[in-house]
Amino acid sequence: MAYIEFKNVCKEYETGIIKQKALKKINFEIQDGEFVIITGPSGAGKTTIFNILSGIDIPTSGNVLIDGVKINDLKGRNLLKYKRENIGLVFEKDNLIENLTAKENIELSFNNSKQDLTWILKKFNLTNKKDNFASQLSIKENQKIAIARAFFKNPKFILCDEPTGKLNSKDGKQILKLLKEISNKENKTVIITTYNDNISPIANKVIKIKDGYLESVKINKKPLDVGDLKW
Amino acid sequence: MVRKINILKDSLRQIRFNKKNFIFLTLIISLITGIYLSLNIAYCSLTKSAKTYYDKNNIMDILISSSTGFTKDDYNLIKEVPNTNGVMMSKSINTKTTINNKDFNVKIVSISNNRNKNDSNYINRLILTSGKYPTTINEGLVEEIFLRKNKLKLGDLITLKLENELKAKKIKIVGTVKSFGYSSSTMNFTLEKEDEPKNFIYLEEINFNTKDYNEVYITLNKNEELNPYSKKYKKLLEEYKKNIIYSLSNTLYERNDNKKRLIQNQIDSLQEKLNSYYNLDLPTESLNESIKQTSKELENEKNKLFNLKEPEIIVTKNVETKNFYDIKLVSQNIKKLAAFSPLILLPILCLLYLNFIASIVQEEKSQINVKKAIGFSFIETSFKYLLYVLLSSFIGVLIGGLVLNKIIFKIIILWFRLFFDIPFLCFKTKISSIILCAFITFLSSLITCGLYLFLQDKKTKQVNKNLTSKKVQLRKKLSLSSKMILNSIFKFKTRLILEISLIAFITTLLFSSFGIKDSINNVIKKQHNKIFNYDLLLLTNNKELSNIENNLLLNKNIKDILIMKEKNVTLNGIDEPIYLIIPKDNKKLSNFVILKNAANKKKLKLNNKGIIISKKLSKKLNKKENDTLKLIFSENLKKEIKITGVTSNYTGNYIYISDNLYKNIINNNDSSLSFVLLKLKDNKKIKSTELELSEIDKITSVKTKKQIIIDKQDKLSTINFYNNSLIVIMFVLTFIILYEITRYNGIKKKIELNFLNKLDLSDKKIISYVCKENLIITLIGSFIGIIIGSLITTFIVKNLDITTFVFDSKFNIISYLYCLLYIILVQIIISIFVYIKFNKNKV
Repeated sequence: MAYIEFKNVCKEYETGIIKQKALKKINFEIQDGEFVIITGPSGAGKTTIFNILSGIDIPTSGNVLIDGVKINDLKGRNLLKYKRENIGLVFEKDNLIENLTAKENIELSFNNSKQDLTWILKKFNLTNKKDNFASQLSIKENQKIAIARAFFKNPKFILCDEPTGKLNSKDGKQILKLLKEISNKENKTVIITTYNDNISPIANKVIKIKDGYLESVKINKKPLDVGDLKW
Repeated sequence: MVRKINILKDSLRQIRFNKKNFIFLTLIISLITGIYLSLNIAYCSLTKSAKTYYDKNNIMDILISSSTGFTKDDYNLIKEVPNTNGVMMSKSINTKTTINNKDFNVKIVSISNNRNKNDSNYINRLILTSGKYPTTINEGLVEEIFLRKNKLKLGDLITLKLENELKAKKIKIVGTVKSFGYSSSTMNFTLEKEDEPKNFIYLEEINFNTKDYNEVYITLNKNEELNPYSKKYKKLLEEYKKNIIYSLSNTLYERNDNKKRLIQNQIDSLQEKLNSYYNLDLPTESLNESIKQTSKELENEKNKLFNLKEPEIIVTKNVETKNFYDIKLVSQNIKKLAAFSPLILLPILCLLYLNFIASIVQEEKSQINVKKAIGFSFIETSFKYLLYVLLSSFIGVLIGGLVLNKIIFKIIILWFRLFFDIPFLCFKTKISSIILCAFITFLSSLITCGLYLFLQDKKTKQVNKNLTSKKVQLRKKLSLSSKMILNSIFKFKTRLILEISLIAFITTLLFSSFGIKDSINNVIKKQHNKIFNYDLLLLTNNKELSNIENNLLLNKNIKDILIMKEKNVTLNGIDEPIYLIIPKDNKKLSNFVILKNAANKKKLKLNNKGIIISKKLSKKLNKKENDTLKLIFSENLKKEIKITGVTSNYTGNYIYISDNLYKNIINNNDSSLSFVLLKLKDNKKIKSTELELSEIDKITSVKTKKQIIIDKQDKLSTINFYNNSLIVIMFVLTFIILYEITRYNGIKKKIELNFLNKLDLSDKKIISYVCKENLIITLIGSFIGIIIGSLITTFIVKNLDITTFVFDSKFNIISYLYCLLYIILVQIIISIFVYIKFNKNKV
């Protein structure tokens, strides 16, 4: 059984009398420890998949199973517990709580792993920046802290929405390298949603979405190293 | 634990980084708390200060006066009345004086010889504020305000227009005094009669030629803690009133009978003497002289007997005196205001909280989403905002309860001191009141903000990407800037509703203040234009009015005349003055006073079967047409009379009674004031007619209707001051709230403005865009506010219980305009100011 399963997932939004189908019978599977990129043009439905996987939204029909748990049936405290224990989230921007320092932002995470914060800061090369507020950090550093916060809780998988969207190629590659390392060395499932198809070669699996439909699922048997990426 | 500490850090830093917003919210909360608490202590202060002042200066409980006067023997008689504590007899005369070519009605009051402050018989004690007490008959004291108003100083002379009542008529002012018994600084909630003196001159008793006293001040044995405005005190006075009338009546009647008998004996002896002259054999010349002399003496004695008044004891409870009554009325209204204020202040507070929380949630939307995404519970996400408002409420209540309420209280006291010349006691706010205030503030902040955050949290995600075809067509017709404005307005619907509600609410309050002012100002005009229909009013002190009527008819400009009498009567359960109006001719009454059924507006006619009473009186007495009403003319003269009609009226409590019915009741024992209403043929000649009529003997005063309206409105100026203060407060509140709304909107628009700046749009266009949006919201809010305001003000004025006024619920169009103009103007100024402020700080 796959670690994450999307079975006939549909999502509709209603605005007055008009119904808009964001996802149309999406089916895919993701294995434990895989580095997955979900890609597609703007408005394809990537963010809807991100929202469903992160528990922010629920599908109109179909099932989403994560490690055998049907998450579209989770509500209230169970959903909150699921989100706290299983998912690490990284967004394109505004990831950090502005009033807290880098260290305090990481500490906000629900730590299940008993990992040492000093070790995390060192691992992500943030020791010197630990007392800085979000406004005193660069976008790359902001993203690094968001990944560190996601990693600190030892989640079952890390979900990133356009993590390199606001970065140049050099900084983007550094962030991707970090995420790839987490996936390979710590055996964590990392899922990235992005419009940037150029980064697809580094993923174990590439899921392409277009107009709410699943266009293709491609498995890279030999994914590229981030350093070899042409971006 | 570390997480929780970080959540707390986030919350506290929110305050640190948004100091201005926090301080602003805290100050508004402290202002609201301060107003509420100060109103509560103002009520306590006013009643307790008044009581302390009454006790300290031994202010009378009862004032008795008699048409026949009191002698020194009556002093002991009154002392023996059960429950009497102190008794002080006083002499007074009402007269006129001219200062700087202006006529004044003044009351001359005797100063007690006994000024021992430990003596319970020294009542209504005078407080010397400057100068000295008189040492000779030529010296006198006045109130300080009298000197100030008339630009006089100590040492100046006043000439009194009197005949033989005083030994000295030219009085040198040697000092100024304060007296509660007679004070010109009052609220004037009660509109006194024409010619009632408002200025007082105090002279030594020795200056008065008369031996008799016409007023007696009495204090009663009572519990020191007894509240002078309590029912228990009122009952005590009521019982004493019965006792004193019972004790004095026999003596006064007996004395009067003795007087009559003495005069009658004198008449008899003179008559006998006169008869004897005819039997005497004396020279004709000498005889004629003697007859003439005796006849004159006889005529004098006969006149004396004719003019001898029947004794009438008038007992006035202090609660019926003007100052006492005004304090009672003001304290009652402040109590009502304090009780009513949460209904205004709490919604303002809740709307401000809502507006604040909606703005901050809008501003921090992405932060909230991040928190939700990383697994924050609802409480953890909301904690920061709730702590913000709770802390702001806590500090606000503390500032309001410990500091601001004292400042507002001092302002209220300063305002009181304009009207009541008593030293005010300051009270500390009860801790329990502050705790209650804090509890209510906390609860309202928790409910409003918590509910808003909860609803936001539960809000289902919707995408608003598509527009219906109707909307698309409408949008196509709009210009680019209009599209931008509409988009901006309807983008945040919750905030839009909140802003409109807040603006509507303040407009309601602002309009209510204007509306109440209109109603008050219209009262006098309506009474004299819709009820009274005369051109001139003449006051006279002559009972025999037939001669005056003949004299008046000689004037060619007079079209119609109505002679009337006015008498004060008492009704059970009513402290206010009630005027009994007795027209000489029932048929003519409708030409001068328009009596209309208050319910169906049909004309009413006065007849000999009963009385017509004014609407407010009927409401207070709970009496309607065909009920009977017990009129109390004196303790011995009470009569139940049928009510034949209830008439519309705007000011004053009036009872109309026909002359025949009145004569039947009082048996010609009449001490009422007479006046004449006149209608003129040519109103343009009113001034010359006024002058001609003032020349007629026995006419004490001639007043035009216009002059009476001005005089009476002038007397209402103090109430208007009260209302103007309310309008100023509402202006300030409106400004603060509009500023707050616009500032938050500015924050919302910050990014948009930066974008517009980058587009190189001219400043004029950007300002017009910002102003237009705020203006549309303001206009919608103020229109709703004016409609609600009119309804609320109508409700208030119909239920407002200020003495005898019946307020009108038709408001002046100018008030609507003032209200709208002020709000729009403030909104435009604030919008420009906020835009310039943001433009300066643009990124």
